[in-house]
Amino acid sequence: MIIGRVAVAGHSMLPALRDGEFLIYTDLVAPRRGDVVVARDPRDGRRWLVKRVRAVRADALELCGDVEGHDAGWIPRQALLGRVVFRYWPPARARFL
Amino acid sequence: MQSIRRLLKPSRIAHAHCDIPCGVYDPDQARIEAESCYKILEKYHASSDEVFKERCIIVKEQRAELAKHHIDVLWHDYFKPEHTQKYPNLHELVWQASKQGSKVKQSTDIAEAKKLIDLIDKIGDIWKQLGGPEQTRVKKAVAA
Repeated sequence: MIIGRVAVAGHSMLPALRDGEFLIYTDLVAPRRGDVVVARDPRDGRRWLVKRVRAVRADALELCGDVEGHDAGWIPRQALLGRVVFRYWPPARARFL
Repeated sequence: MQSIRRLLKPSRIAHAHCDIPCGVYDPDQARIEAESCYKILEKYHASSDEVFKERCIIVKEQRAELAKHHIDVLWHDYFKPEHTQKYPNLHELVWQASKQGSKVKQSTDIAEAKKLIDLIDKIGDIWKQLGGPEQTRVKKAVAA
């Protein structure tokens, strides 16, 4: 079981997520189309991504940014770290996602 | 407020970068910076002017950082999972080149700079075999 926290860096998830926001993610909830997830970059496992699920397959997920033209492509299931469930910073934007 | 933010800040970053994927990639961009490091170190060792030598170190570190940056861009933006499947040593090679960039930053040994050039050339060979020159560069006008 994983419950973790990440800071968002970048703007490809605007307007849903802003640069510098803090999120909680978990692998307890299976991601579905439209969910925001945290995953390892398949091209560099040291780098983590936060993207939206565009399509789901048994063995892989297709991820994209909310800003047009920012696709991460298909990632294997093993690269998935969890689904984003809550934004806790900034307090004014704190909410379940 | 800032101290609370610092306290709550996660240690991990998840990237949502908004790069515009221009699609132009060429390992020569990193090679030119690595060549600069090599040539600067030649001049460094040939000089007895301490001020000049100090400037050499500063500029060499800047160029090595740029070489690392261009290697990272190739890794993050150009190479795809299917490339690493086709060339299983690609991950190790790019990682070594990036680490070598750090060594060049730290060292005044010209052999380290040569090693960086050689590693970038190996990445360049794969880029060429993948059709990089045709796919990622804008063709030059043919000279009249």
